[in-house]
Amino acid sequence: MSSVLSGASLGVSQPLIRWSWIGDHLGPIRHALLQHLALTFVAVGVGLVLSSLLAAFAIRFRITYQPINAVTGIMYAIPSLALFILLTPITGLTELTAEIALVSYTLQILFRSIVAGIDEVPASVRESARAMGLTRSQQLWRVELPLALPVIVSGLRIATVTTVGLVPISGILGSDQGGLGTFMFDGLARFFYTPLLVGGVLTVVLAVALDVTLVRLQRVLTPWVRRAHAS
Amino acid sequence: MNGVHHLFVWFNDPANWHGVNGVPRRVLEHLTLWAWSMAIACAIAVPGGLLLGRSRRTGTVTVNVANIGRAIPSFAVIVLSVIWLGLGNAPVVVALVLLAVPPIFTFAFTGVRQVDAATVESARGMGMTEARILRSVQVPLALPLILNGLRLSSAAVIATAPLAALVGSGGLGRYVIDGFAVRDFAEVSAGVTLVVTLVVCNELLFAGLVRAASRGPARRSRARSRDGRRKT
Amino acid sequence: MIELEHVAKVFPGQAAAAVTDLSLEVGEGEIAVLIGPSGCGKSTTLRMINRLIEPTAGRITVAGKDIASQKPHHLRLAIGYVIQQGGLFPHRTIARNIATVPELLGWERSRINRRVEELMDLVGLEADLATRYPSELSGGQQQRVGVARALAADPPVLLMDEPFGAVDPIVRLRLQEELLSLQRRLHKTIVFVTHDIDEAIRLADCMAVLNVGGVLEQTGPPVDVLARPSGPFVLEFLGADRGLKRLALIPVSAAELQPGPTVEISDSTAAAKAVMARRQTDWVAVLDHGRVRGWASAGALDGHGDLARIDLTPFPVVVRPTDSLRHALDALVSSPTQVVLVVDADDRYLGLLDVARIGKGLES
Repeated sequence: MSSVLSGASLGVSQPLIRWSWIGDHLGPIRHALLQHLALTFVAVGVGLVLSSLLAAFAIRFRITYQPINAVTGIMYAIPSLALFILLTPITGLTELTAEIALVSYTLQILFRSIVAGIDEVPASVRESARAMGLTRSQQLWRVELPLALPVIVSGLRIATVTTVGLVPISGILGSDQGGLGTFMFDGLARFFYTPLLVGGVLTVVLAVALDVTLVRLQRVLTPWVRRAHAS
Repeated sequence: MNGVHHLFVWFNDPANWHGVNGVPRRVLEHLTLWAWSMAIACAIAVPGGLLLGRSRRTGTVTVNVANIGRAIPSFAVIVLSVIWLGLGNAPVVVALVLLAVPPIFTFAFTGVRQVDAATVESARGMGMTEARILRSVQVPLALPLILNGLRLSSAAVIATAPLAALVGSGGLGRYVIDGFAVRDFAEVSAGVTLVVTLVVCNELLFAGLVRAASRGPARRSRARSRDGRRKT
Repeated sequence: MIELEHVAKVFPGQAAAAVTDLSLEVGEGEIAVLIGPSGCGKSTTLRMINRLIEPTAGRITVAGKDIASQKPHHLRLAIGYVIQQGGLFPHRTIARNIATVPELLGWERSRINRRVEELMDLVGLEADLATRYPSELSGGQQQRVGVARALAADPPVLLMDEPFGAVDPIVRLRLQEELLSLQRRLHKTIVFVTHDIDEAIRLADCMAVLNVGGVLEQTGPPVDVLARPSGPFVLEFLGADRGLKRLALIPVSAAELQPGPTVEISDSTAAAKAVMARRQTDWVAVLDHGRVRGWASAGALDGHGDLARIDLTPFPVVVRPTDSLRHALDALVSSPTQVVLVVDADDRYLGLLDVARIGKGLES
């Protein structure tokens, strides 16, 4: 799908929102929204798993932290548009292509957040946990991870919101791709405001909504953070 | 490794270095977008961050700004801006400015906040005006952090500017889009290579700037605080 | 209870040993205090007992069993550990913090809840703090939680690494007293590390003075170490007011009291004057059936037939047999008569102390 819009005239008059279009397209809009959510959750979920593995490795073997940081950083620096496109010879114009690219964009922030979260657990707390007789696995699951949660969740927020913003770009791969991006590309191709607005506004709303939800989730999971006060 | 070979061939082809679609032209277009976006973002975020950072009152407002900024999807913003600004560079610049402002703002804010209050107090006591204090004391000491914010924004802008090709503008994104249209992956890779090169240049540039900024005043201040506050 | 045999520790990459050939024994129910300057390896030694640090050489046994033969976490479940920063889990309530080891051991919920209540009461924490988080408590309260948590599974051994170092001196004194009273009830074997010589003297049944590199300079009850320091290092470490420190450990009852000039209030002034002549004093203490009422100078007696009508001056300070000689010396210094009165719990006259007798008390 080409999005080159040279020569499209700005003079075409149209209302900002043609409500009839929206009414006719409620089904596709819902479908696109669900696809958008699905792509996001899968990407962040897989990213979380992979980053956890990388983080566990980097915590155990400190020397690998910088190399992993650098590699995931380079993956983040590659423009999303290009990554979607470059994967097509390998995995085709499919959702898999989109997912691979989306996952790779989450890796650096999640990796760094997990390592930072665990590193910030105070040394005295870690020592106590060890001294009281918790096994290594108990220390990790009962003490270190819960305390690392605030930092991990803040990284998760960034990764989620970034992914929501990148999903539409995968619409370059085809008209059935890209979640809400389909409307954006459609609107650009036909120079039609309504789908542009629907796609753009819903994407922004989705990003903010997920961000707020994750903040709430973090508050629920970490009640001790809110109650801190100096005595 | 076939791909690498094709990439090499592409860069060796002199035709790719001339004309409207030549490397110099596209790089210039890309850097033009970057320059406009960074200039506007700095004009908003640096004074904003510095002034709000100096004042004792503001606190959570700024954290919220930074957080909201992160939640903005750039492509969606471009698309929405097209409605009012049409195709071309303008909507891209809007989105890139929105992308660049939060990190610059946050780092400027934090940078000026973490300047030792005692240093500022003594400057005030010496009779410096507030403007002078900001210029001669706080900004130099906050410079490493301010530069860090600029570095991050700059890299993000360079890496996001290729989206301009989707709305009829130029820049290195054109190689990506046009290459894809004719399935010339060498061209696509060339576009990516050039973008990544610019990002690396960005890192080097700012690494040098941060080093230069960390030398004089910041080092003197660090040395002073090291001597003045020995642990008992 | 705890035996260290020729224990040594060298950290990789360091030329000097942290602990050199240390042999030490801690009896059951005893508070053993490890004390010394920084670099003397006292914390390292403590951490070797629960295998947070593995010894490079030597053997450590707890309750007769070689600690190397047990799994580290099993060993640690049976040893309580309290550190200066507390190390409380910020993400768990006080109750759940205290319940940590019992939960690991698989106790039933009801038994755990009862134990938490019991312990909070034992260490002096109000019950409504149980649902709070550590960050909401003061430093002193946090330390108490640390102690309660260490005692939760009733371990026979407690290791404490400068646990009261981070609180202010008033709270620290209180925590020390509470530890002593706790120990009187529980009789745990405690190994306590501190760099504060006064804390060591207050708490220790047995004090081990360590030099840099974990060299054991002297060990013994504080009274003995203070009386007979083994060498220049210990002497200097104990500080200049060694004598006063010893006085703080010896009770008034250990000193020989001077009988002093006393009369019953029913006696006549003539009898009082006779006592003063015999004792060669110019004052007399007036008792009422053995209880102290006050004193009168020779001049105050003139012109009176019996003692009942005379205005007696009360004694400003009195000490009891359980008070320390240091307290007596302090009272003496502020008394105009150069003696201090000793009475029992019912204010019954026991005798007098002067500087000479206090000094003699040191020799016991």
